[in-house]
Amino acid sequence: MKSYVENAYKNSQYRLVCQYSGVSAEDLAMLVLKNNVIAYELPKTQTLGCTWDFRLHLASGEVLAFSSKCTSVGGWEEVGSLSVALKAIAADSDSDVFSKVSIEKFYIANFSMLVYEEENVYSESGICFTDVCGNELIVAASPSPGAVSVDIPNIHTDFKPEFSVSDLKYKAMVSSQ
Amino acid sequence: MNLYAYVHNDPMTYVDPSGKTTVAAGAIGGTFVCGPICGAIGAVGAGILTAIVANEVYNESSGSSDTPALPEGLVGDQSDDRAGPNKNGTRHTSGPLTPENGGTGDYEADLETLTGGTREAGEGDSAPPGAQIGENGIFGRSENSSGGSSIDIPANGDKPHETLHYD
Repeated sequence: MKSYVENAYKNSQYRLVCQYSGVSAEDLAMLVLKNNVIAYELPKTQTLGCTWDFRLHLASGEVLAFSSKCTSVGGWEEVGSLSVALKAIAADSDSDVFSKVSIEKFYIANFSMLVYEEENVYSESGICFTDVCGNELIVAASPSPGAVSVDIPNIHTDFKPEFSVSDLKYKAMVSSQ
Repeated sequence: MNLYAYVHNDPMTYVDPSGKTTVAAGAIGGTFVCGPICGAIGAVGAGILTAIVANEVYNESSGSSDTPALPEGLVGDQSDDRAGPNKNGTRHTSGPLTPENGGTGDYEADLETLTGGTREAGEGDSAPPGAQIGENGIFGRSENSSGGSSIDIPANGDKPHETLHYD
């Protein structure tokens, strides 16, 4: 598996779309909407501020794993973009390596891709899940290649994405409302 | 008791590795600063001094005596036009490790210099899959998307993440 998006340069623009594994974008929408996040998980040696393997546990039993790709957009400049993988329901993480934390149920009412865009770069840099109260759970590419930074409501995280969320556009996927 | 009298009450600036002579912390083995006036202060101070030198002044170890510490400043070549901060200033792009930091221009050799040795990153490691990671968290990508190789040095304090590029 490459650590970057392959064949990203098209029509005079680097298009760094979210990479999906084990699930399509459409299936992801069907999976997460009206579902609840009940726990998150990451390697014990890492933090929510910067982790190379962040996992969300859904009430339905599925696990979504997030990381990022780091792709050249000309010269030495590289830009991160999100990568999402659906893990098998029965997959148990190595408890010596990973730490699982239960959270108050987070009901996913809708979700958006967080997009960084300029003249020659389009990057789906992160994803934002929103509950009915407007609270946001954000997973976005970190400055460190391959990693993501996570912001969870009511949980202190050292949230440091590659691009400030205020510089990203919300691209609505679908909504259950 | 004044535990730091032997370094003029400034243990961050001066050290006394011999127990007899105070020298500037950044010049061990070099500049002579003070005469033997501090020599009799005692072993307690010397023990504390050892800890200070090991943990704060030299900052050489990252868990293993063979593992270099993370650099506290940029260590890559800045002379290329492509060097500089990324679009949002959260990552710094540089050329290869500079000679004054032990750089040779060779990706493999410089990765060894910066890490003291690597292994392939696996599940739970702080690096992308397939990268070569050292115990200090520095990792190498033998193939990046521009066709070259890269060495990634994690942020350290105010220093941003730095990526060294080898074409």
